[in-house]
Amino acid sequence: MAIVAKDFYVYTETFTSVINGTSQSGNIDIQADSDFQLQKLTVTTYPDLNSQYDVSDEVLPSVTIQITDSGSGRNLFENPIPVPSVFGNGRLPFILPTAKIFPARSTITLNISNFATDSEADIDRIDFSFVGYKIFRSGQ
Amino acid sequence: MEPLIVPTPTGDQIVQTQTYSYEVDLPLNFPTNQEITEFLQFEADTDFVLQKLTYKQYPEPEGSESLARELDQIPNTTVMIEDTSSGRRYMNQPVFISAIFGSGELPFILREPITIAARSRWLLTFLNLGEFTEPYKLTLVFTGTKIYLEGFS
Repeated sequence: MAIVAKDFYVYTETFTSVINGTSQSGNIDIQADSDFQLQKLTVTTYPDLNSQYDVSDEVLPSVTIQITDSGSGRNLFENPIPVPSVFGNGRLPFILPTAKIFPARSTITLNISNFATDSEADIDRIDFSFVGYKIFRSGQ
Repeated sequence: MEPLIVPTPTGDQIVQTQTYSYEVDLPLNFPTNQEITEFLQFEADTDFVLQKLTYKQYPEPEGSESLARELDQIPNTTVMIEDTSSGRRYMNQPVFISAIFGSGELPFILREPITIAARSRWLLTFLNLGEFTEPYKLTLVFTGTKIYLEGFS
């Protein structure tokens, strides 16, 4: 099907209370109206949401992540990898070398694990943002 | 303004372009845990091609400390952007500002610019999630190019 329109879009998944030594999973459901072309990955981490953080002391979470594309059933990484190695921020986002398409109605599954052994590495809230474009095709 | 040649079905058309920035200022000392809405009204004279997203948060109204690089704050604030003309939202849930906005030195660059029609109106909904993190001033800046078609000046 031919591409008829593209529109900027961001899918985000939020995790709260990511305690050291624990794992969590979450899903992003790609909406039915269009495919999603993923181009950039960013993460925002707040160990304490009630504290003010500066750019110079931005937190790099001690968390690994595995991303699974339910459409193909494939993992994106051989093994879970540290979040800061594949997620950036608004200033310096991680840019995918090749944009990835997630089909409409598919699901992106995120499995994260806080591998720290100390409560100082606990995280109040961590948001993973998938930045790209909705691709509307003829018939969608 | 810079001339630009745009291919059209009837031949190449020369248009004029101008770098331009729209901004959204949040109310000073806006409170936590309270939704705030602001509108971004795009001007009627031209379409706008959005290319870069940046923000700046100031902790204090005065004093050199607020200007220091090491106090370049990361907002605890989320934003949801909606185009009121189409009703289309640009995100599935509110996102933290620092996830898709950069700085003047390191702006968030849209890999494929967004063309926004003249007279469009965006609704931006903000929520500061921190308990003791009320910024003095927070500004979002949308930088891109105005496209002046033939006949406009």
